Amino acid sequence: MLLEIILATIVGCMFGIITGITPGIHINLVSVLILSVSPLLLTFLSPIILAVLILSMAITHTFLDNIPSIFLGAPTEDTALSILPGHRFLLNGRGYEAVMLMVLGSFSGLILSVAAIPLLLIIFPATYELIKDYTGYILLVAMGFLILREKSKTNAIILFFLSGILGILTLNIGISNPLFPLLSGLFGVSTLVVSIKDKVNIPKQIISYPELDKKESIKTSVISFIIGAICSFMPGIGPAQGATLGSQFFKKISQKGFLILVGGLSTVNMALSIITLYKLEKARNGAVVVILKLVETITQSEFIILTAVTLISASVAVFLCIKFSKIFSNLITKINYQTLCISIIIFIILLTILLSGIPGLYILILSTFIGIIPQYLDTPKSHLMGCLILPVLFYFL
Amino acid sequence: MGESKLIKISILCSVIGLLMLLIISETISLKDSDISSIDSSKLENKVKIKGVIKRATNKDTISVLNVEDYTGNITVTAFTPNYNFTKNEVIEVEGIVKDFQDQVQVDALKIKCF
Repeated sequence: MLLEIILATIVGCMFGIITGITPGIHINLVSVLILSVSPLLLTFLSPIILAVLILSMAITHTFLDNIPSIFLGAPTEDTALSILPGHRFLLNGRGYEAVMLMVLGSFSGLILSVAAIPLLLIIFPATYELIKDYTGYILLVAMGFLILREKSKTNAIILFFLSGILGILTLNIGISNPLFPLLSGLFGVSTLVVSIKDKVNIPKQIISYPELDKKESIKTSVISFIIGAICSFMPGIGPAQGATLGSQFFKKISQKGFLILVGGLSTVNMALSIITLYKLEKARNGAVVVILKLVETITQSEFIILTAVTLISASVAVFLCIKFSKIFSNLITKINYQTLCISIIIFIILLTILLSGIPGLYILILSTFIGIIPQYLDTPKSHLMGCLILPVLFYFL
Repeated sequence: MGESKLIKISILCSVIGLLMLLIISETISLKDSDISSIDSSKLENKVKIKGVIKRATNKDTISVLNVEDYTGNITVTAFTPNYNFTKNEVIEVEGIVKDFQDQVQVDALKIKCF
């Protein structure tokens, strides 16, 4: 059994490399594929072994998906807000640093999560019962506060509602994989289009480790842990919404701190979702939904196994991130960046058509236009997360 | 924190994870349970039993088996499309103890046929 667990962890990490580095391939997609072949796999594997495989893939993914978001401008919903600061780092020859900052955020957030597990096992169930009926109101107050803090409140409201309406329409018109064209357009393709228009050239990338302010690093790691923990058990609030709230509530953090924050959120959310699964028997993301379907209930021993696998996968993922980001840093300057941007845009278009059809392409074009607006209104792109927050608000209210 | 320090911490974390697995490995594998010991006090627990199929009813997506060992017999429900269990087949079942119409039974998660 021990050998099976270790092998499943290794295989999961390998899957996580593929899903993390390849834009458009999400862990939810692969998890559902594993579920579909599980009747065959369960003839020789225990359900907990498949759960280990999925969890290690998910944890590895949260580390490695930082690489395409920085180097290729291709974010997921968890890394969308890292695009602009990450892009700035890339244009200053410090793409590797940007990835390392996000990896630091992920790893420190994960260590804090595992260390806090005994406390969270008590806090989660108690807190969930208190606030589960007020999620919509909490989110409404938080978003109102964020908009009121902006210099140009009108611009913030316009962006929030424009993206929000787009989000509601996209999620309700019945296209498959709606998030891919929506978020790629708002955060990815729009950034690439501006890069092409501005004839951006990627300078030679320096492989150097970021210099960190110790105080700020600790502060942002703790913030990402707290917000990630809230996201992991609150219905309707994911790392994307958490990043928006975190970035606005803690505006005084530097760009480095912001990347640590965003990097940590998705990893903490995934790591702590096993507590939500164990204590509340609820799943807050696609991979954990599949785990729940496979194992039905989690015993204490299985919970400890999953925690151990989280630690091992994260450690492997750190090493993989260091290696892959060095490779990307060296490769990116050997390619004409305009050509690369155009290639990525074409790739995203083709993937959109494959995953979401022609309606998805329409959404991609529309969201790209909307995604370009903040850069000319001098308003943070974070308000474009209205595309996910407004639908959640409508659902709960 | 430099790159080498980060790698050292990650190696330490992976060693801690492996140690946790090593320590828990004794309790990972479910031990075989006597069928007679499975009662309502074990509801929602995972158990492992080994026995002979005394009666098998196979439908499209579900099979209902009566499994017997030397201590007793129990109903096992298996969701195994396209597989027909046969009488006198020796099987090992890992599953969850459930209550169905006041009868304790096992919903199988994994079945090994010998």
